[in-house]
Amino acid sequence: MIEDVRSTAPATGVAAIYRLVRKDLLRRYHAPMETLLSLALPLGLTAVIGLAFGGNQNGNVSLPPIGVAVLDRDDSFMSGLMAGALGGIDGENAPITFDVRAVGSEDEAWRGMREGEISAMLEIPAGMSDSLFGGGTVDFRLVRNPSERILPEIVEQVIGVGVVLLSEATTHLAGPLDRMQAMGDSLDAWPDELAVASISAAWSEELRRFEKWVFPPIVTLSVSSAEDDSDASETGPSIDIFAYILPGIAFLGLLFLAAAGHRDLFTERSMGTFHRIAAAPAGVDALLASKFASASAIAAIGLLLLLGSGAIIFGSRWGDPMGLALMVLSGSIAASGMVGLLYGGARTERQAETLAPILILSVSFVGGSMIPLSELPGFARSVAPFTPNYWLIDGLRSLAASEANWLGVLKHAGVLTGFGLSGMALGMGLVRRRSGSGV
Amino acid sequence: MSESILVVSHLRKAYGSTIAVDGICFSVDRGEIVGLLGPNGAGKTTTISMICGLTVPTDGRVTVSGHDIAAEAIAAKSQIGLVPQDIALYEELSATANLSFWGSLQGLTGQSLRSRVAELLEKVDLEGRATEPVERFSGGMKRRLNLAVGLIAHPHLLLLDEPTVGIDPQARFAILDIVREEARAGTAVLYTTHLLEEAERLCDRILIIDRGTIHAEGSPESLVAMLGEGKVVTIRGPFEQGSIDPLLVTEDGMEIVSSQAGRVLLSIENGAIPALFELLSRDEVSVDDISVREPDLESVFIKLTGRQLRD
Ligand SMILES: Nc1ncnc2c1ncn2[C@@H]1O[C@H](COP(=O)(O)OP(=O)(O)OP(=O)(O)O)[C@@H](O)[C@H]1O
Ligand SMILES: [Mg+2]
Repeated sequence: MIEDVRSTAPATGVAAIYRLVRKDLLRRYHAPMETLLSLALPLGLTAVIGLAFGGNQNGNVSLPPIGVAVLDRDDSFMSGLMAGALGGIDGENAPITFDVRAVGSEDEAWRGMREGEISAMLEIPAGMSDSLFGGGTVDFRLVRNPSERILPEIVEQVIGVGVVLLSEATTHLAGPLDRMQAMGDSLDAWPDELAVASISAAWSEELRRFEKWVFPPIVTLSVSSAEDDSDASETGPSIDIFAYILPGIAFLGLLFLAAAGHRDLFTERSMGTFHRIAAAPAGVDALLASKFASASAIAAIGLLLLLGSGAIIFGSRWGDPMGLALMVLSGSIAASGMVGLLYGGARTERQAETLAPILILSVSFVGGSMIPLSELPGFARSVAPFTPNYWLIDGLRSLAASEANWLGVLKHAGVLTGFGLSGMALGMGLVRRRSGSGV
Repeated sequence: MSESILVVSHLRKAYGSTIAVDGICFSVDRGEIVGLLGPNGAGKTTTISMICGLTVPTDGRVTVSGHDIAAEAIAAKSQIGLVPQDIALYEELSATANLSFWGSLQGLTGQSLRSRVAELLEKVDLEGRATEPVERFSGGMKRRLNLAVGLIAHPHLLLLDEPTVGIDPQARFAILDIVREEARAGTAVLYTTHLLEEAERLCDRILIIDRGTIHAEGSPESLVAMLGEGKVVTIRGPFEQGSIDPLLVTEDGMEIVSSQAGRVLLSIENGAIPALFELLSRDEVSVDDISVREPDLESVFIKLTGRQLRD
């Protein structure tokens, strides 16, 4: 017989998963760009937003509303909606509020700027709705108050983000919009087709490169009157601005990190290593489970780095370490499970890649990653608890505000873990079923 | 006494109406190199995939050292070293990291893993590049590493699926040498190829496979002997399929091996060649080319399948 040099039995089960995960982490370590970028951007965004509001290291923040003049040359239903969206940013939990003022001419806006009441003017061009929906491009114009630096920057950023989202919507929702158009023929305001819009080509291009990571964390896009801006300026969040912004952004970043982890399954398929592992004693199940574990591990490391950087750079305090550990662990499992379900259900890599941002963004929207829950319409508020974002954000915020210790977030951790494990079970089941006759 | 490591019985795989593998049976003994020789689409990769448990057969059974690949997957798989047709390595990792990972998956750990990795790096002549990421390797280097991964855990059964595709002759000979060495150490080897020379040089036994069926089986010599003692003559010309067959069968000492439009292959007794030329000129058969050669595997293949390995 051939001498058996193995010191142990072949790796199966947990031992195999451990070795597979270790390999995945090693690969990330050797090709770290994607991961680093995923971490740098949420952090950068938090920094920009937080610092822009003069976040004094740990202090509570209460922000003045930013004056924005809107010169609506289009004067349509759509343009009204846009101005309203900007103006609707208020409420006790919104970190930023805009004081939107309709102006009749550019001069009026300039007067406001000179008096320091207006930080920027947004000009909505005439014929905007028509060209937006009719396949043309739209050039919004943003005029910044030359005597201010940071506030106009914020306005520009927020609107820039809106533009990217609009472009995204155009690309991804073309089909549904066509159908809506057919339905809405009787409505004059409804459009033929949505097209890409841009405020400024440069801004938009810049953002587009990072569009996965850019979301409007500081904007609340609900339509409401801006009358109560005096209230809004008096009540700020009761924790520091970074600790307030970061959890929502961090979880979004986490979802994209987890997506990168799951995408790797397709990569392994195309590299042939999928089959090689499947042919090893470990088998397909260990491989699939390892992808969930790797995605969780990468997400956990990412979240720790994000929160840790938040603490170092912004001086944020995250409260009870034990509670924090629970949230990081369960949040990562939830992110991996949720995204893994999507990747498991997708037929092709392209399908997954198309659906992932849509799913991640919409779940994050409803879950309060982008807009404080209090600003969402009632139905969204009742849906929010069905998203992992809601539980992670709520848990981290109550820890940061010292409203809870680890016992207080036990429920959050339990729900998140439940999200993750059920996503994993379903996702693996889907992959298994699809590759029923071998792999 | 021979000891069968791999036993394949009535293995069949249908993809819808395509029968990729059609009920094949064979075995590979300890220390034996068996070649699965067939053209593109013959069913070689499908056979390998079923043997190592990647593809579930429509019918039939595979055992490795007595373990059923379906029922005792872990026991069976742990005996197998697979070298897939398409290179399967982690490009961003080094040769050492790749080998270590695949070794760890087979249960090697610690010192035994490290020394096995070092041994294999030397064997495939990659010690000098061991720490470089694989993405910087040439095609031949990747092929060698791909082979080394298959050997990492001293498999009892080595499955090689066209392991020399797309590399220069030197790297190819190196790979063939390593395979021979493994077999001498007792490993059972199943080697798929569409290259006659490789099969002829390397294999103790060859299975000729085409359209999912094994058409013949034997040592290279015994397969060639099927064509008899004489020579193999190929006649090419602008004739229809079967049009000159009646003419040829009238003569003693000639046997039609295969007949196609534009090409007829004959097995012919040594003395009968002049008679063939006479026959062709007498009947004014228009001929472009006649070649005479010793019987070889290629002729056997054409005789069995009616087509050439490479068209
Ligand atoms: N997953 C599949 N689905 C459908 N048909 C398949 C599948 N895999 C293989 N086939 C078909 O089965 C037949 C045998 O394919 P196989 O890959 O086993 O051939 P091969 O001998 O390895 O060829 P090559 O020399 O090109 O590698 C081909 O007709 C192929 O198209
Ligand atoms: Mg093949």
